[in-house]
Amino acid sequence: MSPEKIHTGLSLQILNDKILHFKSINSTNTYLLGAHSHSNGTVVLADFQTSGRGRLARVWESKKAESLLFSIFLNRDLVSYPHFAFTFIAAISVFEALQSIAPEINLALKWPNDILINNKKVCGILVECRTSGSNLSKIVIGIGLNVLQDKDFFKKQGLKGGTSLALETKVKSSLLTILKQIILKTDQNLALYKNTDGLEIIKKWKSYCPYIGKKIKIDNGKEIIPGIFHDIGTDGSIIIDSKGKLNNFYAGDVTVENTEI
Amino acid sequence: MKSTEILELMKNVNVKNLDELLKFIKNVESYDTDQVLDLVKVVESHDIDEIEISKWGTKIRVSKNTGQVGATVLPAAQVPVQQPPILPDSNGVSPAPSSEILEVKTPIVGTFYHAPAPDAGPFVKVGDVVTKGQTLCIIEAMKIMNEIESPYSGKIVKILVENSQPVEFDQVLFVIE
Repeated sequence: MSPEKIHTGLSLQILNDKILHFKSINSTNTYLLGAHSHSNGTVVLADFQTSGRGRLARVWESKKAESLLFSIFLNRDLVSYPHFAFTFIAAISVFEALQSIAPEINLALKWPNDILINNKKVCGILVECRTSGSNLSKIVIGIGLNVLQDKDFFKKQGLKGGTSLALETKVKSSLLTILKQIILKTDQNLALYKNTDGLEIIKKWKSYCPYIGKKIKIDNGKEIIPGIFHDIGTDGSIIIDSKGKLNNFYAGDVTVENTEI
Repeated sequence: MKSTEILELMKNVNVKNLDELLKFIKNVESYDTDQVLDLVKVVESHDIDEIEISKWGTKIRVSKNTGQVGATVLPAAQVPVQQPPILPDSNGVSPAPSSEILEVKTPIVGTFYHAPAPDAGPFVKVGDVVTKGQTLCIIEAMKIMNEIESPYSGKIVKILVENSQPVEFDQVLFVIE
């Protein structure tokens, strides 16, 4: 099925101002990582994903048009960016978009790219890339934002740490309005990274994360390590203070003490 | 600092492959030339064998070896580069692999996964014949799932890492024949 083209009408520096809109697709990330070539900054939006997924192929459930599901394709023109920059750029961009739509909400970032409202997860980001040898060939940033789901949805899915914009805010913005705002912020932050030192991105991220200095645990798939969230490394890693010893972690699930996330 | 001064300073500290080094430095955007020169000076003038600093996206190591000072600019774990590191590090140059045995190394620091999902079968097993461009594994760092494609066609003779194991930059993952 060929997609509908939506013009954002935004003035963008890096991303494409046309959105490819599918009613239904297996996964927007899979589509962009497939064999077709795409121009830099292509955005693909889907009302429904038949095989939406998260990290380690965890299923990302979406009822039709209750979530904003889209992916952004970037190619080697951005080759000088370190891979991990995209995780942080995506997270701060969604954060800033939501902040501009609903300034009163209690937003937070959790390492590295979870977006929380009132300590519950409202948005998941999955960045995937292809590397051959040491050459990065393509990058896809997949974003799934819960917008209209009700309490029952999260109860049925067993997601007690999940929430939607509708549950936490009085926002009545359409999915497209929210999408445009995220595209705009992503474009601005990609340009910020390109034109300045990437540390500006990390600086922003840290200012949006209230958990630095707090007790956390990281589950790296083999063991669960408790400690104090000390800082973010210049390489994007999370630095955890475990009994006075600082350790860098590059992967794992972080949980914050006394919260459900 | 003028480029002629940089060249002069580099000459003084016996940096080999100067042109390549400068070209490399120029190609890495988030990189500060003065910074590595400062490091070269520090290593040269003090009783220090090696300094390594990590900056967003780049890692710089300056090491002194058998009386000479060299600067190695490593692609950071996360910076894709077109050229290989130019100078030997303090351990010297690793022997070039023979034409039949090829190593696949990780371009980033992270966690190695042999399969797309915990309950799925591995991408490749020892004995499998792979083609160039085929996915060998995923390295996860900062929730970025990085599919590593085989740069060569051949037979997998060794897999040197276990599933879910943390890997360091440039660690050998697979040996392909």
